[in-house]
Amino acid sequence: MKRVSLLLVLLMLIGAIGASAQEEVTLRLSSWQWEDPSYLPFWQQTTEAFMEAYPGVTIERFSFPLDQLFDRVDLEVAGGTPPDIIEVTGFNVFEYIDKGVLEPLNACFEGTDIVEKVAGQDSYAVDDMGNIFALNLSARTLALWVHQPMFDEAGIDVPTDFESFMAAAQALTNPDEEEFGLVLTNTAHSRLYEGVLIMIVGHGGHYTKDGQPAFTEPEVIAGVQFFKDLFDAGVMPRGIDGAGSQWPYFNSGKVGMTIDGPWYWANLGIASPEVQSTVTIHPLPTDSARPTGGPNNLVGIAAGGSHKDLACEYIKSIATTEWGQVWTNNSGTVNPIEGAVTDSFLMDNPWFQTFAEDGPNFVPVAAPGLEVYHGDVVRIINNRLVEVLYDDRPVEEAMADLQADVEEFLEDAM
Amino acid sequence: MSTSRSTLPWLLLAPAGLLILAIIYVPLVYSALISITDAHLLRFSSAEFIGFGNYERLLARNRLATSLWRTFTYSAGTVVLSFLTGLFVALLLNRTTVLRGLTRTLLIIPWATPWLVVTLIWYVMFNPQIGPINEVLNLLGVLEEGHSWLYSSQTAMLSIVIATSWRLFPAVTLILLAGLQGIPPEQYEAAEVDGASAWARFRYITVPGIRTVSITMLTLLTIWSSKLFTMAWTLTQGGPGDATRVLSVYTYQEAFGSNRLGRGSALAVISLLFSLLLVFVYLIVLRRDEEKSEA
Repeated sequence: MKRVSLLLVLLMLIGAIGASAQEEVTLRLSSWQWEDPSYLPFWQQTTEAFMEAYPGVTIERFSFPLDQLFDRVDLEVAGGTPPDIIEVTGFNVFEYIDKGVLEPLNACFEGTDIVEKVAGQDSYAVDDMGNIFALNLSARTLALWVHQPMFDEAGIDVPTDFESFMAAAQALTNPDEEEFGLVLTNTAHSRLYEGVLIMIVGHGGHYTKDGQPAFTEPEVIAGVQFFKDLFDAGVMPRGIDGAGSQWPYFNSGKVGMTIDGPWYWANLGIASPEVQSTVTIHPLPTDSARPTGGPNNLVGIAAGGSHKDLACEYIKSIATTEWGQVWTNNSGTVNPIEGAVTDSFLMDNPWFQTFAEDGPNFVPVAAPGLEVYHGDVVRIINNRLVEVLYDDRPVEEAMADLQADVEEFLEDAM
Repeated sequence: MSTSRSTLPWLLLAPAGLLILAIIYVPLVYSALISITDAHLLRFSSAEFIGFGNYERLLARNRLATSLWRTFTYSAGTVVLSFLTGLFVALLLNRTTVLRGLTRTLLIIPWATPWLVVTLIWYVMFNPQIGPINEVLNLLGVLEEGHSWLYSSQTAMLSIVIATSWRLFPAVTLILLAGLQGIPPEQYEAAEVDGASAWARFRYITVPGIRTVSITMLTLLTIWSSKLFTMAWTLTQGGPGDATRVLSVYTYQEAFGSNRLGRGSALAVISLLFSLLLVFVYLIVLRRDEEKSEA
């Protein structure tokens, strides 16, 4: 009898352990924004709310800076242990879709109105079969940031086209005082790719045409040439290699203009409140005035994840107007769900008006037709752009080489 | 009894041998195996055997040849500059005993500095707007406006060679100094009595005296510099264009930039063969030197 009782106790213990093991689930959520004060409230609050709603579920942070995160995620994917929920950028999402890293969300979204409520949800990060792979969390465009006191002092207007852009940049540059008319990234960095793209879009082109590389098209040549003319005119400091060196120049109050996205507002406020208080934001000073942009942050479920149902529940839980407002209000970037940008937000943040008005007019940053290879394409393009800027290579010649580079790359990649 | 005696040494060697096998050779073989597949980092489990497809594709493109040439240029430049600088400083230190200890200590600083910190130091040094190198050249009237050292394909390679040599030359100095101090002073005294010039003393006493350490040092420098990744990646990311795309950077770009693990592994195998070639040359030179010494 004693033995039977002991056996029963043992069986109950094993059962209890088994049951608790079933209940205790850890979801891993990878994002580069866990340490970013602008985005942390959204992630922290949504995960806490989810863990409260699902006792026994823990959401663990898989957190690295942006430039390291995807190397780590890729290795986890290769090892067969991907994070359950993956935040992706508007650029690498295409490669993740192409390589089957993300799970289609159609079944997850079934019975919800997410696709109707989230702008662009049925067109971005969607494959030819209509499979939706990620929830759009933010859309962004770029605009012209103007340090108004420099313009007032020089007695010039904010530029509205290429000609007035060049004239203003030159008028505001004063090498003796180390003042520059403009600061833009001008070394091999994704911001160089986009900075030049803005000029190309201003001439009515893109890096591709009908899905094919179009680097020798007149619009591309003209756009690259305009960027080089600005660079050669000495209106921008050299060696600017991304936000890390671009922002401090503008923050210093000694630069008249920069081109950036809404996320810069909070950073400028922290680094230089006095400059922030005198900044005005305008449409891009190009002939077309069309901004580059598109979905910037998306979140999806790893196809190789172990808890796809729970991951789906989390994604559904954050696709609400309330959480969209938390995102928008804290980050200053637009969450594309209906009602995420409130009137009170726009009244409190008048600087945001240009982004709100220009947003829908955006031209996608990733070259249409080459989205899957975006990272490689950016690197290849930047290599040639740097030669144009720093080695004085004629634009036509460098673009012809670039055309050959990209065609060769595509041939290898297919 | 004799059998157990003959197997005992093997048994004793086995743990170390297995460890070396597991740590060094298994990854090498694994990498070689990946190089004959179309492995992509994001769909690794579905990699398929493609024979020498990766190698054929690499050899069909100019990029590999260019990258090998860049590796050779970077390596040769670094070896020459760091060796000559190290030799010069070692000769200076050998002539004086004043503050030799302090100088030696100061010399170790670059050598002891982590590579990443060295890249940050030189990133600032070469900065076109605020870099001290441009400031000095401006003051001397050599340059009128800031030169973009790291962004011009004319100077990017030179810049990373200078930065790498700065990090490596102290090791050369310390080792050559040890070699120089091993040369008996009587040889110099006798040569002076015979009226030998400073150049003749250097040519016929100093050079033979440090010949063996120099060969070792030159070979080590060649092997080190041919494998270096940090400088070329952190300072220039292989650019501008492909001006500094040495083999290690090319391998990284393929394997982790483009996620083409198969092709990246093929490049890693080619790098290995390149290093083996250098080691082979080293062994031949060392053997010849030993034979010459014995003769």
